[in-house]
Formats: sequence, structure tokens, C-alpha cells
Amino acid sequence: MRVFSFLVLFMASVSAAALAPGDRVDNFKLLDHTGKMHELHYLSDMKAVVLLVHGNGCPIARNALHTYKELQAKYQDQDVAFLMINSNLQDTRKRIAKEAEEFGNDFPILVDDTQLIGESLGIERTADTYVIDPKTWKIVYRGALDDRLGYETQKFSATKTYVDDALASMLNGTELAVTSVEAKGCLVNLPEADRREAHKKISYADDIAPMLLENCVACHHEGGIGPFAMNEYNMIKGFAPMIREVVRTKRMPPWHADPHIGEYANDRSLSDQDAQKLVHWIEAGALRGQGPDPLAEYAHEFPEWAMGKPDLIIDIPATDVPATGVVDYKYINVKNPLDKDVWVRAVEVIPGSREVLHHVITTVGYENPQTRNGFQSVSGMGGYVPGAKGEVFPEDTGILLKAGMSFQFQMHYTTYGKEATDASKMGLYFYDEKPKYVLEGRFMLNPRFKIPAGAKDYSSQASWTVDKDLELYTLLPHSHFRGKASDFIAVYPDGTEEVLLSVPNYDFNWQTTYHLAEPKILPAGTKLVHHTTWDNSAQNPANPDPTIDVTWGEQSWEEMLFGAIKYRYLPEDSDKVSQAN
Amino acid sequence: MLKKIVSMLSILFLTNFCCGLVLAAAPGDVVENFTLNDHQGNKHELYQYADKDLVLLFVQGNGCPIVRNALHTYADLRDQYKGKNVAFLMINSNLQDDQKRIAKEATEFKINFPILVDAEQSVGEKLRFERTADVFVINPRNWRIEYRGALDDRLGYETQKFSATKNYVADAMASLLAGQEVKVKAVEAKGCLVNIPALAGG
Repeated sequence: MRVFSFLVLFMASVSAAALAPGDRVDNFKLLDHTGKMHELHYLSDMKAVVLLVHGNGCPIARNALHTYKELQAKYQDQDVAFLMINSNLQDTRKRIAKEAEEFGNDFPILVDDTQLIGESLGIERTADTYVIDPKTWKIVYRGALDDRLGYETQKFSATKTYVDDALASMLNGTELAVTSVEAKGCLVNLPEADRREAHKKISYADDIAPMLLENCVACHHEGGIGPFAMNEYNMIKGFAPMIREVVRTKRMPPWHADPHIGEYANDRSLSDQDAQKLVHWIEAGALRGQGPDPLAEYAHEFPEWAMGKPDLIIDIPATDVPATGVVDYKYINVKNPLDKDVWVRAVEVIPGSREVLHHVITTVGYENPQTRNGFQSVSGMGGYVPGAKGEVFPEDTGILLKAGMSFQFQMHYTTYGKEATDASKMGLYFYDEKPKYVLEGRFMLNPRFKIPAGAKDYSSQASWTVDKDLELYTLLPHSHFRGKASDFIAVYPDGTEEVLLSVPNYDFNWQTTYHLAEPKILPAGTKLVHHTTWDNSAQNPANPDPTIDVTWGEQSWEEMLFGAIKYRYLPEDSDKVSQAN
Repeated sequence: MLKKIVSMLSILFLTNFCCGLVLAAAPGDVVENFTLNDHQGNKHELYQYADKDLVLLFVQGNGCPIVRNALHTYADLRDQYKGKNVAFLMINSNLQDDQKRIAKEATEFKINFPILVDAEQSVGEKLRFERTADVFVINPRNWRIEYRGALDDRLGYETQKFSATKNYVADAMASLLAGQEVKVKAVEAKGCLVNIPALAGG
């Protein structure tokens, strides 16, 4: 009878997502406290994934660290992944990193900024441990690590080693007797965890649809590169589970910079609040509610040229794209038709076939059969990324387009299930007279790497020492299918370092140029370092071949370490440098 | 007796309240008969295919890149088995897709398969559809699912490989038609989640 009433009580008190053994854990991506990206489903090649709920300032969590380390040591080289997750409101990345260092905690501590992951895991207390089976993503065990710790109490040693037993059973294929034990630890405050009724009141008309219009419709409209159009409520309702998934796995919106580092003018990430609102609305049933349908009412004429009629239009020769399969990068050269030098102030590439064109990277230079790619680059000249509306160069800066030059267009196509012919165009806008400053471009590259077959994390770097004081405007990390993470770090003459851009979630599909919200002054003598990390393993779903070593090459199945930067030199009498320091 | 009540209640609790534990229609399960019209208005009753050696059911959905990029593989399979007594069907249980829209996508993407329009989501609910591009290989002798999952390993979320290394459905079909055991009976399908509110407890 007691069991019966307990069960009733339990059922009544259960939150919307009280994950128990046998339940499946949905995929997610989170940055850890060092800024490294982790994806749950990436660990599909492990035999077990262990996730311990972390929290600063919790005696039980702190005392459990030692046991967790012992477990990791015991299961070393047995394909068990040990992670931690922190969903505390009060713990920021910085504070987590500080406590981690203080307590010698070198496990990845996933920082659940939005608390959405903790909510979906049904997190209640720190030191609670989830043992997950990567074959099914189901929870095998959930609860205390062992029976050693209590509230202000500890035993000399544990008598029951729950997680150790769970791991042993998984690796040996035997039945696990104890699948859950009440965890002791500090309560985690997830204010939105049990507020499904309140979330039902989130308004589609006032909250959700405007958010989608602002963040998504630029690509998700009829004829856009998004595969479906967000043009009415029913589309959102139907795709709601998918929208939740791509937000939780950071696939959408397509923005890949670490939000804790730097600020970018073209940042198109969802704010934490927006992500929470959207996912909560979906989890509460994606209700239509009252009010008009802003998506259905939205009638937007996307003008051909965002900045008006260009001064010069260059037609990029058409490319036929097959219905499916992988298409290599195409390099297309077009001669500058002008017979006099001009200064470019803005550029826009408009795609012929939006559905297939995934990026264009434009450079100007000279055709030269002697060079590797038949082209001698002088400067970048913008490009195209879905959703971009052209690029205006920083105030008073311009790029010189000389009469004898040519353009080279690196075209990246992705197939979408239907044949297409892409005939894109580039529009250039000129200054009437030479601008005050030259917009300089530089490619920081290092072709001397060899990525070993199967390597999950192989890094290399390129660096450049700033020759004259400059102000930096944009950064573009570029690699191919195996690119995993990139960064740009400034090492100032006084030895201090600053990370200018970290892209821990690099996706070759999105060749994003990151525009600094405020130009960065780099004094002469600053060493600018650009790192790229590649994943040449079978776990990288985009990897064409994990069995070969990979070196530099133009094609997408080869790799690159290639950082493009744009800046201008500061005049010698500029006081900007001393102001920056 | 109490133990029985507890375990029954536990199962009730877990299946009704817990979002994760869903008894998927897995290999070995029997597929009940159903009748649906396809996107061109033709009626299809599952059990009308009783004389076939195999019936394949591909979960289609408009606007899903993985479905669109899988189309030619499914078509190649059908070509391979032309004249071999295998039925190749598709089914759409999406809330956001109706017969008209499915017909439009079929025209645009040259989908030459009957796409059964599961407007009430009744089949999707019965068979516990999770994602599009999921393929059921069904044995008409006993209407059991012999394989359920991805066509092959070529496609991922915004990724494609040059060619597949594992052809799950092709291998399952070859084994079955040769009277052999299917080695790999289920593979997690990649595709777009199908929103079936009845399955979500909603």
C-alpha cells in the first residue's frame, strides 16, 4: 500500500520531463567552461556516456569530484566519456572555470546557459549522475555516484558503487540491478522547469512569429535557401519538434562564434531569452493562441539589389548543379571589364539559384598560370553567405580594383534533391574619388600541415606580426569538410593576449565573415595568431574519408588553414592606438 | 497483486507521462492493415500487397533536405528490383503537408512513387513515426517489420558523403529475398522529426 501511494504521489509531483532509466535523452550541443563545443550524439562511438550534474559551491559535488576522477581512471581507454553539466543560474562560465581550477577539476563542464538542457534532463540536484547508452541514447542509471556522501557527512569509503556498477554492466552486457538511487546534492534552481501551463500562454502572434520573422524568414521563405518556408502557423507547428532540435543542437540560426567572446555586427544568434521562449512554447504544444498570423501576412518583396543599382555588374558564368551528391568547389575567373582603376566601396553577390548556392568567396588579383590555382590573389572582395545582404566596407575605406585585374569566385554548391542551374551576379559600388583609406586584406595561411587519418582534434596555426598600427574590421576562418574549430588571437607587444574570435562550432557549410562590432586596434608588433582544428575521424559525418591523411588543397575533400582579415592602417599621427591601450 | 498493480502503473506512468519512453514499431512487430489515398487520389490498402515478396514504406515529408537527397537512392533501389515483385511506397504523416502540397513537391522533385497521405496521422501514430526518411521493410507473409531505419549512411544533417558505405535497406532486401536473416535490423534514421501530437501526450 505504501508503494502504491508513493507511486501516486510520484506521478502527481513529476515534472514534465523527469527523465528516468529507460527514457531517451534528446541530442544537444553545449560549450564547456573552456569554450570547447560538445555534442551528445557525437559520442555515439563510446560504450557509455556519464554526465554528472555540477554546481559551484556545493560540498557534495566538490567531494564527488574525487570519486569521478577515480572512475575515469578505472575506465580509461574503455570508451567511456565522462562529462559534467552545470545548469545553475548563479554559475557563469568564468566562475565555473575559476572553481574548476581551484579544485583541480579538469572534466569538461558543459555550461547550460539557457537551462533548456537541464530542464529536459529533469535535473534536480547537483552530483546527480546520468549514465547513458550511446546505442539508444537511453538512460541506464540515474542517481548518486555512490553511497559515500550525505549532507555535511561523508563515510571513509562507499559500500555501494552505483555508477561503477552501471558501467560494468554496460561494458559486460549484464543486467543492472539498481537503476536509480535518490541523489544527494544541492538543489538546482530551474525556474521554468515546471511551468508548462505558463508556457502555454506564450503568444504565437506577439512573441514567436515576430521572432521568426526577424531571425529566420530571411532564409526560410519561398525560393530561399531554407528548405521550407515559414509562411504560416501550420508550417511552424508541423516543424516545431525540428525547430526545437536545431536550436538545442545549435544548428540554427547559423551562427557559430562563442557568444562569450567578442561582439559582432552581423551576429545572428538567438538570445538566450529568445531561445528559451521558443523552445518553451514548442514544448508546451506550440499553441496557436489568439491574434493574427504575422507569418501568413508577411508580404515582402526582396529587392534584387539591397543597396540599389550597382555601378558594375559582373555575371558569374552559370553552373549546372545535379539533384544530389557532393559538388566540388568551383573556381571561376572573370576578367575585370573596366579599362580604368576604380575604388570599390561596397559589394553584393546575388545568387542565381538560392537553393543550391551555399557560399561565394570572391578575391581580386591576376590570372597567373604559374600559381597553384592559376590565380594570384591580391585581396578579398566580399562574397555571399545565405541571408547576407551585401557588404559595405568600413567608412572611408575602399579596395582598389585595377584595370588589368580579374575576379576569382570560389563557388560552393550543395545539392538539394533537384537539378538547378546557378547564374549568380556580383554588383560593385564605387567611390567617386579615392577614399581616405585603403581597405587592406590579408590571407593568413599555413599549407604545411598533415592531418592524420582518424584524428578527432588536430590543430595547426598561422601567424602574422602586424607591421604598422592598424584597425581590424573582419575575420573569416576558412576550412573544409573536416574543419571543427577556429580562432584568432592577438598577442600584444606587452605580452597580453586577447581572443578576438572563437568559433568552437565551425561548420564548413557556413562561410561566415565575422564583422567586429567595434574595429579592433592592433598596434605594430602585435602577433596575430590563427588556429584551426580539424576532425578527420569517422565521427565527423561530413568527412569524405577518415582513413587517409589530409593535406592542403583547393578542393573540399582537401583541407585549408586560411584566415582572411580586413583592416586599414592607422596614419602615423593617429591617437587611436594610445586610446586603445 | 500489488506488484502487478505497481508494474502496470509504472508502465502507464512511463508511457503516458514520460516524454522519452516510446514503444517504437520495431523489427518483429506486426503492421496492421490500413487504407489511405496517395497524393494522386489512388487508394492503397496495405494488405492488397499480400502477393508481394516485400513491401517498402518510406516516410516522406515536404521540405526535408534528407528526404530530398534520399529520393534518387530510393528510385535506384526500385530500378534495381524492377520486375522482382517488390512494392515501393511512401507515406506522409506531416501536419503541415496536405495532398495538394505533397503533389506539388512530388512534381517539383520528380517523386515517382505513390505517397500515401496520412492526413489523420493514424498510421504515423500506430507505427510510431519519429523522423522522415525512415524506411520500413515489411514482409507480406506475416506483415512483420523486417528492417526499420535509414536507407544508408550517406546523409546527415547538412552533410552528404560522395557515396554510401553501408546500404542498410539494400542489404536487408537482398537477405530477405535470398531467404536469409537480416543482419542489421534497425539503424537510427536521420531526417526531420514528424510532429504527431497524439504520441507526444498532447
